[in-house]
Parts: sequence; structure tokens; C-alpha cells
Amino acid sequence: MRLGNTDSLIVLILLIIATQISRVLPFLIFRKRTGGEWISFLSKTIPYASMALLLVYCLREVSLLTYPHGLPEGLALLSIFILHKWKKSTLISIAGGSAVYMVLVQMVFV
Amino acid sequence: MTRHRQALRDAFPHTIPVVTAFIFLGAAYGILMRVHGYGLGWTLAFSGLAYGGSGQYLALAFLSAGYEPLTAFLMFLMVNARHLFYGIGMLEAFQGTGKYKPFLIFSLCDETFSLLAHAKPSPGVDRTLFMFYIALINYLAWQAGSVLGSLVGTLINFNVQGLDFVLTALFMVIFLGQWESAPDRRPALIGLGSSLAALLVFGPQTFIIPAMVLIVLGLGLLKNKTDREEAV
Repeated sequence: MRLGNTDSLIVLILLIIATQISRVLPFLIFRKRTGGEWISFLSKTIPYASMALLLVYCLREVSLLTYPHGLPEGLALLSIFILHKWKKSTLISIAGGSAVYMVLVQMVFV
Repeated sequence: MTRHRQALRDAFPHTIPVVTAFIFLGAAYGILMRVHGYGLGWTLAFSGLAYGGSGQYLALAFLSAGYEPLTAFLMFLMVNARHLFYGIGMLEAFQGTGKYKPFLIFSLCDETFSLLAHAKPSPGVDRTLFMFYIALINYLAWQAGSVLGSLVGTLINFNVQGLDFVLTALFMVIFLGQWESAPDRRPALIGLGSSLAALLVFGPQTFIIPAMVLIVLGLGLLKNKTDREEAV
């Protein structure tokens, strides 16, 4: 089921490179200049837009047209919303929502 | 009290939600690595050297029959592309951080970025050390969680199907928190709209970069609009 050591190492190295390139590059490109007004605006607004992108990324494979039509994900996200409003705890929301999803996927929408 | 201890004490409360999330998420990752046949050494290597949750979870798909180095690399780049945004966001903040800068850059993951962008040190606390300890605490929590999961993974036998949903759950919780506290919700809506549009047009494998382009364009239009509003 798992890969051999060489192939696994290749995946690891590729991931390290891809991850660190993306983190270092802005600091290499924008060495001298501090960026100005546009960059300053981006730095305030991008965090919010990025979070939305990440959420969509996590749900990218969900198909509304084929069974189970995104119901496990939708119901789990709804439970997170409710839990978060109620308890306001990051851990409870994450654990609870994940538990809901796992139960749905293992027992309900089989 | 030394500057370090002062900064550490000031930083820690901010990191609590991330630490708990990381221990949980890291453990889930460690368990999934076990399920895929990878033990503690590999788990620590991925968590310690790559240090990126979404990339690490994505890598699981390739550490199996789905192994394809070129595709893997492109997908890793795409899922990590948002770090470019974070770097831009931290350009000013990381100036003057001296010897701590390399670690700050290396460890700039989603959650650390989100804390560094919003948390402010108390008066008198060294700003660089404050940021460093936030980054360090998060990093160590991720390692701890990964180790925990890897060890626990040998003991448990329950069905782990759907466990990787924890990452989605984390992002949802962060998104909700931001939605509540944001001074302007339009950037979040721009993010959502751009991502969904890109997803519909390009499909799940290649939508990230177009989404980022649309986001930048959308934010540009927003800036133009708010500049004109303020000029009036």
C-alpha cells in the first residue's frame, strides 16, 4: 500500500520545495521596496479572501449532481456553524463537525 | 523578567485555539500516515520539514498507488500558492526581525499567518520575539500532534474514513471567526465568489491559480471603488 523509500523521499522533497518556495519568494522579490499602498491594501484584505479560497479548495471534489450530493459536507459544515455559535470553542467546533462528517460518511451515506 | 519570557507569556494566549487545533489535526495526520503505512520518522519528516497541513494531507494521495511526481509537484505548488499572499502580507511586519526572520518565513503557515496578521503584542513587549513565539508555539504544537497521532495510530483500530475532514473543519472555523470580526466583508465575498467561479470553469485540479488571479482582480476593483468613495 505504501511507496518504497526512494519514491516517498521524492514526494517529501517535492513538498518541501513547493511549500518553502511559496513562503520565501515574496521576500526575495520585494527585497528593497516595502511595497506601497497597493501591497498594503492587499496585505489587509488577502487574509479574508484566502480563507474563502481554502474552504472552497477543501470542498473542491464535492459533486452536487452525484450521490451523496454534498450532503455529508453540507450537514457537517452546518453543525460546525451551529456549534461555533453556541459554544464558541475552536476545538469543539472542529471535533464536533468532524465527528458528524465521519458518522455520516461511515454510517448514513454509505 | 527577560524579554524572551515576557514575549512568550504575551504570545501564548493568542496561540491557544491554534495549538488545540494543531494537536487535533496533527494527530489526525499522524494517524492517517499510519494508515498509509508510514511511521513516526516519516511523519516527523513531513511535519517538521515541510510544515504545511494542506500540502501534507494532499501528499497522502501521492504516497500510494497515485504516485506521480510531476503532478504531485504542480499540485503542491498550487495548494501552497496562497503562501505568496501571506509573504506579501508580512513584508512590512518581518522587517527588522534579524536572525528570527528565516524561521518566521519558514513557519508561515495559514494559522500562524492569521495570528500574526491580527494579534498585537502588549505595550513594552518585543514585537519580533512576540511573533517568533507565536510561530514557534504553533510549529511545536503541530509536531506534538503529529507524534501523538503516529503513536496512537498503532493502537487504535477504528474506521478512520472521513478523518481528513478535520482540515476543512479548521478552515471553516477560521473563516467563521474572520467573518464575524472583519471590518469589511467584501474581501471574503470576493474570495468566495472568485474561488467558486474558478472551480466551475477550471475544475478541482487546476482552479487555484485562476482563483488567485480573480481574487487579485476583484480586490483591485474594490480598492478603486473605496478610493473613489473616500475621495468624494
